[in-house]
Amino acid sequence: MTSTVITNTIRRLRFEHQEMTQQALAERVGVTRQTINAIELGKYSPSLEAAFRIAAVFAVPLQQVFQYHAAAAPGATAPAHTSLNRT
Amino acid sequence: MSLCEKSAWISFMIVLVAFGAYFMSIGVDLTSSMTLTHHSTAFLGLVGAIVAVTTIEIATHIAVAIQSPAEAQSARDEREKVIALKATRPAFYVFMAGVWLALGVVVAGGGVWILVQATLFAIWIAELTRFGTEIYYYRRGLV
Repeated sequence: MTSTVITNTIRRLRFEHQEMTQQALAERVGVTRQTINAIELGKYSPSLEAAFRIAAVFAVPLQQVFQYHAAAAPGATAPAHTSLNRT
Repeated sequence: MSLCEKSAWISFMIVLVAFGAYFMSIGVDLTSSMTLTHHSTAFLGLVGAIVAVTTIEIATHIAVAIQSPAEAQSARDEREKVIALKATRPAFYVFMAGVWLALGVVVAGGGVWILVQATLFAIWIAELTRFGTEIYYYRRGLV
C-alpha cells in the first residue's frame, strides 16, 4: 500500500466520540463507509469539503483531524509550513 | 466491499466471459475463409453476447442492490467518482490504440468485416481495462 504524507486522527476522534462507527461518521459526512475506511488508512485523500465536514462532525479544527507532513513529500525542500498552519 | 466495487467486479467478469467466448469463436473463424454463413453465425453470436451481458448484468445488479438497499439508493460519493474518472483514462488510450490498429488492418488489406470485429475487440479490451482499473484503485487506494 502506498502511504500518503497526509495523516489523520479520525480513528482516535471516533474513539473519543463514544466509539462512533465508521458508518455513523460516513452518514454524517455524506460518503460511504468504505470511503471513511480508506481515509483512515491513508488510502484516499478526501476533498477539502469532505475534510471540513469530518472536522465539523467532531467539532474540531481541520488541523486536528488532518496533518500534512511536507518534509516527507517527494521533492520537498521547505519546512513543514502549510497554508493550514497559518493564521 | 462497496456496491460500486461489487458492480465493477460483476461487470468485469461478465464482459470477460461473454465477449471472451464471442471473440474466441471469431478467432476460430478467422483461421478459415470467412463466408456468408460464418458472418451470420458471428452476428448471431454478437447479438447473443450482448443479450447475455445485458440480462446477467441487470439480474446480478438487482440481486446485489437488494442485499444493500440503502447504498443502492444513494449516489456515488466523491471517492467513487474519482475512481470512475481515473479508470476512464487508460481505457481511452487502449481504445484509441485498438481503433488505430483496426484501421491499420484495413489498410493492410482487411475488409469491413475485419474492421468491425477489430473495433469491437478494441471496445472489449477498453471496457476490461476500465473495470480492471476501477478494481485496482478500489483495492490499492487512490494516493
